[in-house]
Amino acid sequence: MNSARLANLALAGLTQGSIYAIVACGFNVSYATTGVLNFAHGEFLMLGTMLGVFFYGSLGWPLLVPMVLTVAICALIGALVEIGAVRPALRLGHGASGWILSTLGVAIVLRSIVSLRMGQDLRAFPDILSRTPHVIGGVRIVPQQLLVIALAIAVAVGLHLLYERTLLGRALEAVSQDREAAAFRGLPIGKLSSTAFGVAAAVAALAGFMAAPLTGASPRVGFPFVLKAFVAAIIGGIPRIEGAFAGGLFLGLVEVYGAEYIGPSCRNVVVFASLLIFLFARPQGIFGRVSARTV
Amino acid sequence: MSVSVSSLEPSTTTDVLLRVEGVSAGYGHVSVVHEVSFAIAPKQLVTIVGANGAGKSTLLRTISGINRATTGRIRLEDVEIQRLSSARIATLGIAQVPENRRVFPKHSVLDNLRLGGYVGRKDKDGSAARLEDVVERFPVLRERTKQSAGTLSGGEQQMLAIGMALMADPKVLLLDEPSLGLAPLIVDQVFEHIRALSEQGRAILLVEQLAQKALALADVGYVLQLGRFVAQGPGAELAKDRALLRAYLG
Repeated sequence: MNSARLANLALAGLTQGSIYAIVACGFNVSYATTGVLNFAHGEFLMLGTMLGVFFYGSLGWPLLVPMVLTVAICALIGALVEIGAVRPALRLGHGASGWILSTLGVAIVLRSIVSLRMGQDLRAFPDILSRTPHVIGGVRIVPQQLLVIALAIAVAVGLHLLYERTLLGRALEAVSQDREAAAFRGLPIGKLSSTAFGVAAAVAALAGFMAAPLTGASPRVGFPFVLKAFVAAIIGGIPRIEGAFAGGLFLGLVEVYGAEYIGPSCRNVVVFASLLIFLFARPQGIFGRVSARTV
Repeated sequence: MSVSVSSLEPSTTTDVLLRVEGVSAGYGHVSVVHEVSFAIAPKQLVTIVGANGAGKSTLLRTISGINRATTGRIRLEDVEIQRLSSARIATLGIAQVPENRRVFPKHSVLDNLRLGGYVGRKDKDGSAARLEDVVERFPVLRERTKQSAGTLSGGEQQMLAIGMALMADPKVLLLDEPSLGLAPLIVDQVFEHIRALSEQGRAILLVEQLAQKALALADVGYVLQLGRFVAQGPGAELAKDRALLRAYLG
């Protein structure tokens, strides 16, 4: 096994991991503010690929227009999911868990609508950047892969700045620290929650759109990614953005190296085995803090 | 012993800032506050004292829209607020310093203050002026703007909580047991700040278990027992009525 081979695998792993990282970041954004794990989150990645294939592929508009439009539509749907499916479920009181079924229901509805309108087939997505590799010193560097990795870095840095530097971000974080204390200060909890869901959906849709030349577009593309993104979020430490980022990249590398050295059929085995190892050894995740929880 | 209400309450609606009329509230089917009525005039400091479980916090939470009134009306100036969201009520001019302070422990002192001023965030100049006023009032906060709020002492957190409420520049300031868990010396400092705020013309509704000190500050005082007012009068008079306070507060 030579070093060029290792580097190629690393690039593939980081690309795969970048998608997990972006989806996991979105997971954490909605979870932090509402305490809800949005089971429909992966469908925004799916919508990113499918709306993208429609606006960019079929209609052939110049890249920026379909991208902005796709992300904006998904942000809006995300906010509506919070208003329509999450908020009523939480209204039943502290510890209400109706959101498990309601977000799962939203996932099924979104997937079904897209399947009915556009069919179930996996569609090719037109190139955003070239998929032809440049071979440098035996390492195959694919511009499209670099784009996905760069996007993951941009999303993580962008969300970090949102949380640390803006009053909106501080407010979103405050709601996650103490929802009632935030209400006492007149923070608009409902608006902040739907904003968080909108941001999360936008980020997932952006990931779907930008990675679609690699993943393809299909109504079923969301679930496998969201499952692994969830694992990545746990490994990184929910709800930390840097955790989601690190966890995503880690998981992508584990998956690709595992498939190479243990066997392609073990792809998912190594992913979930690493989750188990973390749950035993460091249940709070890489960046997580141990905290008391009132039930 | 207790003075009649009518002589204390402002007679016309024009000089009433906040009016609570026949408000009941509670949790689920359990009513904790029963048809309570009172009013606060501009610049007035009203104190409500009562034992643990008398319904003081519930009453404040109902005014600020965290809890819902099951009966009655609450008016801030000429707006009925009992059905509005807590965020809307805050925008209209009521800020609450919650029981146990409830600052955001992981946020810096400065971020806590900025969030306290969230309702007035669009007024950039006003926000800056209010921040300056708060750190002038509580110099200890100025020294610690970058420190996370969770590392402050109880007294400092109480100052921060009051500072957060002032950042919203409220028409009425609600204070829920600001003495809770503080050393007597610190309690005196906190009460001194409350007195200063009142003297500067801020309308204040103070709820306390520490009856004597809290009533001594007040223009008007009320004693709450099991969700009903059982005595009311000028604060200074109630504060001196030891028999009364012993009877209701133990």
